[in-house]
Amino acid sequence: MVDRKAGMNRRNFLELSGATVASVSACPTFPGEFAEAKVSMEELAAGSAERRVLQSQCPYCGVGCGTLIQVEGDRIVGVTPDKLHPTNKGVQCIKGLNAHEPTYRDRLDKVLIRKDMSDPGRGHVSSTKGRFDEDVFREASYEEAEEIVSDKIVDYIKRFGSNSIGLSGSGQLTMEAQWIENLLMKGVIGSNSIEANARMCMTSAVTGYFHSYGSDTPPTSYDDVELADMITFWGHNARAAHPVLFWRVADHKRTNDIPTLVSDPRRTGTVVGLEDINPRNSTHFQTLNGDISYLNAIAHVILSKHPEAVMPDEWLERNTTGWQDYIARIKDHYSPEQVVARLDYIDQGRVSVEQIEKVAALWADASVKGRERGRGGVLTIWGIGYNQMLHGQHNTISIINLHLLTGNLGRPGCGTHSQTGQPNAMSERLMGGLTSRLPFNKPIANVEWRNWIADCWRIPRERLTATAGMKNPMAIGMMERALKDDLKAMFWMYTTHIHLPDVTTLVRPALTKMFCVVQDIYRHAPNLLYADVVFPAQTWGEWPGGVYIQSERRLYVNDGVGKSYDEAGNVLVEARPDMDMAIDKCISIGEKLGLDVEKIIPYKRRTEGPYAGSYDPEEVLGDIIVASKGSDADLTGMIAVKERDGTGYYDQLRRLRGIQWPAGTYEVAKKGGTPRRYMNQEDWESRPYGLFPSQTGKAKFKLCEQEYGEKGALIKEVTKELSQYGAKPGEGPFLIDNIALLEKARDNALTPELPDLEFYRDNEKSLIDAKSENRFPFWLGLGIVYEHFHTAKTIRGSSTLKLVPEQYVEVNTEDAKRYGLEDGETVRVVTRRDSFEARVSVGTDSMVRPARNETFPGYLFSPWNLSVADSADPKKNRWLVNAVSHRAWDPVSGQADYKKCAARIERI
Amino acid sequence: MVEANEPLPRRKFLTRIGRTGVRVAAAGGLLYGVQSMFSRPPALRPVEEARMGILRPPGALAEESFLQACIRCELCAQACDTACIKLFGPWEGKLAGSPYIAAADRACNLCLQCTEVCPSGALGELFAKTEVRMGTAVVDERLCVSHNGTGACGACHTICPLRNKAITQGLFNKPTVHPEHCVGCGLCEEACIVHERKAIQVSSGRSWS
Amino acid sequence: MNFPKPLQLSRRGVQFLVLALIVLTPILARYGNYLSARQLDQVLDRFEGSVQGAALEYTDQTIRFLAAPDVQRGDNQRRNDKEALLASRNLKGTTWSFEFFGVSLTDPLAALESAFASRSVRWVLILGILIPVALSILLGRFFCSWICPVGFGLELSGKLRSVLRFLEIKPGRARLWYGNKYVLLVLGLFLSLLFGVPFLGYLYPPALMGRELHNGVTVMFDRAEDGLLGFSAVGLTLAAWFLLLIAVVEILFGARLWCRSLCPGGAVYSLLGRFRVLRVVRSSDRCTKCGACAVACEMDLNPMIDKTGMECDNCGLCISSCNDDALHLRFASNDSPVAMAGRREGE
Repeated sequence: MVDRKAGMNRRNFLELSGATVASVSACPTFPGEFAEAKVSMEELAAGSAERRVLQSQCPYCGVGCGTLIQVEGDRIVGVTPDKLHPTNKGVQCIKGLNAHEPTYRDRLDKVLIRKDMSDPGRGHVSSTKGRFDEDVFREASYEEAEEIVSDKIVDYIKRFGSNSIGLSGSGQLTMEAQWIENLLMKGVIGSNSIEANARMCMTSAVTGYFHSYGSDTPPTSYDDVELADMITFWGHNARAAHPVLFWRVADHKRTNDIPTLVSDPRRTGTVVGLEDINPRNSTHFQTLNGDISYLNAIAHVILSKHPEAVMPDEWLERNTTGWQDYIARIKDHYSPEQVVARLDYIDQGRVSVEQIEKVAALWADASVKGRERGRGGVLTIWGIGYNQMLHGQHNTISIINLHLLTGNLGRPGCGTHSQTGQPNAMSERLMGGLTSRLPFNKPIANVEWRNWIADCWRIPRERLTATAGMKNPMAIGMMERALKDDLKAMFWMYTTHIHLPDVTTLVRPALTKMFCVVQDIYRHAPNLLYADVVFPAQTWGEWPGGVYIQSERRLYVNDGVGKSYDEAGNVLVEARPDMDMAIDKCISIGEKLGLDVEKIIPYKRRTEGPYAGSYDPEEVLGDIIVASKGSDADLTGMIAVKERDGTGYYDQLRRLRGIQWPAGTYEVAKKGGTPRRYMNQEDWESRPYGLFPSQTGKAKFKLCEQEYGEKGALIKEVTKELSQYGAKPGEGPFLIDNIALLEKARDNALTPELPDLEFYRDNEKSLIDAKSENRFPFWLGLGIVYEHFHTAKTIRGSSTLKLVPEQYVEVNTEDAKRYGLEDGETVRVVTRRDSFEARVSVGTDSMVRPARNETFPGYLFSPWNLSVADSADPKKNRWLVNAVSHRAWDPVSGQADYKKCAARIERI
Repeated sequence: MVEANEPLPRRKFLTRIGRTGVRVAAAGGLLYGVQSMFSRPPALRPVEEARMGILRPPGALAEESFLQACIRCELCAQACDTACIKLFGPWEGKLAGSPYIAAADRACNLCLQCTEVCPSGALGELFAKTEVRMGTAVVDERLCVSHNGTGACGACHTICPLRNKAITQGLFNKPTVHPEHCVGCGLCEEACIVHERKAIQVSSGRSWS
Repeated sequence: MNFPKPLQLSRRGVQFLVLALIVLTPILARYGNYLSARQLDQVLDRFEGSVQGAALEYTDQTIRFLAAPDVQRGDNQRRNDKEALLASRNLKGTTWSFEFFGVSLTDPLAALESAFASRSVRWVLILGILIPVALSILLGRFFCSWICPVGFGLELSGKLRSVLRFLEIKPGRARLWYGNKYVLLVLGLFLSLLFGVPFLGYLYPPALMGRELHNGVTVMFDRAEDGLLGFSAVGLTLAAWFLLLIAVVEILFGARLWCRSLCPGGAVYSLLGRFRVLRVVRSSDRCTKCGACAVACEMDLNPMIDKTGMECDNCGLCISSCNDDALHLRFASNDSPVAMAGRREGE
């Protein structure tokens, strides 16, 4: 001690002590006031900067509420509902009201290139796929990345053919971006392998509409809700999925006491909400997969007991085809007793003959009422749950059959209304951003239209003709093609790969092999795990404009600030609109392919104004509108308005709060488009079709069958065969080689999997037995929850994440009791392919929120929205539900069935 | 210090007088300071919050008895499962150091750990969540989006631990609070999506003064 | 200066442990918060590289090692959240009131005040002070020398007085009457009675320090995302200034003024320890009256006159300073010196 002291002279001691004092004062021994920092009411009232408002459509579900974005400076600070918008009339649900929250969280700010890229050209598979840590990427300039991408893509086109390039687009892109993306694939690259997340959303409705009416999309308007005499929901938890539409229905039911029907395997908030209003005229078909049969049974009861509701033969003959066969088969094979007996293996008599007869009587009554009054009748609304079946197209056709039979179409207040899941899936289908589709409801096989679109795209006609000859077995088949080395590279635009089923054994192995170019807004989005090149994108509210179309065919503008920020308030210089990036790819790839890109892309980046540096989407919209001429979605009336009144396209949409297509003339466009389609409801003389735009000019009846076999023999046989698909990650067999099996499942209206129902019904068996015997006794359904939309945005918004923060699995109360599952316990839900973890939510009093639904015994339900809410990183992710779903799809519509997996619960 | 027992010289005497004077003055000053500190109005708060009153942790005695009994330790705050219990800062008069819950920030999830741990009995023992009476939620129908026709929200109903009893829903998810069941945990206030001023707030009836 | 004797070493050890405990309890509380919200993994991710993150990480590892071994869940080992949460709840509070594996330990001053303020006696409080009171009756003011974190701090900051001397600044040697603290205690209890608030709780340094540490750690976690430590926006609180003031005054004007003469808690412990059974006892035959013990005594007492009374806090500094082995801690009922020439023993 003495020695040490002696060794220290006074001066260096002082220096030392000075340093000590400094470090002590910075050292946090007694941190400060713990009073909360709260803004006073006065400060709030004064506001901190000038606010302005932008018109927009809500970026979430397909209802498409009018939304006003509150902007301070260039930053989005809030969202308010638009009182003048006819869809929502100033009302919005919790998602829309908080739509601004996730905008600036976790933003991607740099162009990233994976250091070890997958290169299927030389058979190299990246060793870092499945990771998105900082060290696997390097930052690059936009130009460098663009160069790398176009080089590789052109190389693959030349070596493996243009169909080896794929694209997955989105029902959340703007209409203009979807147009360009389709041009990029079918026109510039010349590939037919273009899919979109809209495939898993509503393509069953699309193909069903095409089959029956000859043209796509719901012919109805939301205003029909308030005119209807009866409203039925099929596979649709509207209160959670499309709240504003549901509340319009509920409000109408409360004021006019109309009867309602909900067909859903769960007792959902929709069922409860309608029963709260009037339980006597609210019916619930608690069916799993039996909708086709019950619709047919309703037809049978109407035919036999309520003939006054059946349209006269002359009417059927004049407007439809195939009606005699339909009626004969219904009478012969679909009495309620026959149906209930036939479905007993799965539905266990939960839907009774009395219920069917009651609904049929109400249906008949409403149909007659509507017909006599000239407005009203039965309005049928269906959702994603109804579309997502192996027999999704048949589901749609069955609904239309019943509507045709009872004449519930062709007048206000009735009709068939499929509700899309995404804000702009309606545009994805109108723009034809899917395999073998062209813009405006036409297939690529239609030569006349193909040439017209080639002209509009300013590409050589033979290029599109070549594309038309290529095959792509739709979204899931495209992934199987990748595993079979048939697809080499993919673009992912504004969508996520985890929306596809069977992520573990199908999608991720496919993405690992391919060269993937991703446009994304979030740094920790799951797509970055498999991206080779990542471009940061702008999102809703930031785009320099763009059109969305919602479920009543209403085109509406999305205004934006034109700038992206991160949470700290830095401008994201590299973030670009998806459309701009697609245009740049058209240019760079087109140039290398020797196309005349100057002609194809005449658009120029703006150099001044708030949107400097970006292309003008209104120019692209102009091209789209021109191309619509002569289609059944004619929008050329907008051109007339622009020429006569001098009002720009976006301004027309802004002023009218949207235009419903078709709008073929000045007058129609001027009054906001066409609210209802078919049977001369279009107020538009020169339209290219009569009653229906089908080839015969008539609507088409087609009876769809459902058969499980004696004691489920048939369904057992088919599902057993299906169970071998997806057994091993990244390996065959592949379903694209066995479409006949899918067709067999479809034609008998079966499910992709079948749980061990005998095992489930054996009261001796426990959860442990299920594990040790490798049995799957439960049905498992995947769907959505009210507070969330898809998997990216709402889980980054604190208001909505707080309400439903963690993955849960809804378990029936009796099942929980029988298997000793406690409410709130964490379990693992296992299927043949993979598993996920979730907390058990028992019944409607569960402590695990939201606890709104009661499933039926033997049925489990989990939402897919929380798939990556814990972490997108596979090492930490426990909630990815699509790891467990089955890949089987409807052979016509391409949609998978996420609602009927076979699962077991394992305790952890 | 040991005082020697000897006659006092004048100087020592004067020093002692002086010391006594200082002590008396110090005591007087202290008393005055304490008087003014504990009787001064609490720091200015948003009008609404003041109207709703202080939200105390579950099981708190009546406000006056609570302030008397609470020893201002921070056990309740440390026991709290959600870290919702906070302590008043030093400038809050007699509230200083006592626990409160700013439900709009973070609300109570009724774990009742605080009542178990309280060493002073200021938080009385409770045996069930339903026994808690921290206050009653009050809906401001002008602010609530479901009531004023600008939304169909339902956040408060979803998060309510006694949902379908304490809060029920009507058309457009309109919440109705049932005071006989409401425990006043404040979760609804936390979840409410009207952020500037919450449309549902817990009124505790405990005055701020 | 001699090498510290085992008695002093263990005292320092206990003091340090107590300080560490009251820093640990709010961290444990936060750890419990994150666990019960099932957010720990995300938080560990988010706080990675920060002090808060390290604190949580170590807490987690320690608890898992001591109380909650990992369990096999499916394919991988997983933290046993339930057990870890239960374990984290075993230590709570500060020296003002502490909960140790379900046993409540409350400062008797707190109980006195609450009783005066509410004019009633609550049995929970009686239960809480049983152990501290019993120990104080037996061991005297051991709280002040062995437990009190502020006493610890002031002892350490008092070392700066020798630095002042080294800098040739003569620190003051002011003394105050020991009785002041009893006056303050009576006055404080009277004020509590008058205003219905535990007045001394706002003045009593260990209570203040506990509260400030709790708030500090809490703020540290709440603002963890603002920066490395989250203290950028934080100044010192009133209480912190008060504690700092005591330390500075003691350095400049007189050692341990607060503990000797002003601390109301010290007054309570003094009174309780009036008839303590563990005392410093002088061996009259060994003592050489060198005076080293009187210099060493932080309480400004003189063990050589055998009359330390109730002010002695049994810190044992005098024992350690004695070169003649003349002072010992002994069970005794008074301070009378004893003859122990025949026996030699260590402390």
